[in-house]
Amino acid sequence: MLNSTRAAALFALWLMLAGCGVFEPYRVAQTTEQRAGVLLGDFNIYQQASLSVGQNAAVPVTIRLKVVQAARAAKAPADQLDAALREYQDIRVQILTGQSADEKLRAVSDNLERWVVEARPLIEDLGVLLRRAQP
Amino acid sequence: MKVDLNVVADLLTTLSLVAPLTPAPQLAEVLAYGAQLVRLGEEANARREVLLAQVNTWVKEKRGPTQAELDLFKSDRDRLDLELATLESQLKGLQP
Repeated sequence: MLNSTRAAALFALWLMLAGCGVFEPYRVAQTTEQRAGVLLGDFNIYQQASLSVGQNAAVPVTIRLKVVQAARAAKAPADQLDAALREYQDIRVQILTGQSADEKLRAVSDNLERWVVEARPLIEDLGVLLRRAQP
Repeated sequence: MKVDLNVVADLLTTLSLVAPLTPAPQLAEVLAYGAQLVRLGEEANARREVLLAQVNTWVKEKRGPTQAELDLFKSDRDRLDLELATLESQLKGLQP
């Protein structure tokens, strides 16, 4: 009885939260470079939220551990995305100063796009997991 | 209509304090859970507003994040991962 009451109350609260403040920086971003930046910023937010859930004694240990491990698993792809973004920016500067070829920019741009595609579902899944795990 | 989630969280906390006196004392637990959830959501929303402001600047200036912004994301990412790693070890020790 308590579980179903709790589930109903939390569902109602979550609906209210969803209606109150949906911010989609990813939709605002217009370039792959900006989208990569949004994912990196969003990942920090999810890491912080994962830490809060992981420290919450009201949540069962198995769920807390799952959330923490999911956040840690997404860290390596986030680092790769960061590296790809920095490489892209470096090459773009080199092109502007005539030190590199357009071909190289295309290669690093493709690489950046690949890591955006790779990291995005991991970070979004972490968000879904967090919503389910919150007490 | 913009709802102040801090007010909602405070309201839920207050209700959870008086709920044990009602015929449905389990309600206190539900309300306390709800207050925690609202606070966590509010914190994430506030941080996302900051991120949204950053993205709007990038779009307006037709550029991506600066090196300083990327460095800040990275230092936060590394610090939080370290804290998560410590927590992971503790939680593994708590598992039945």
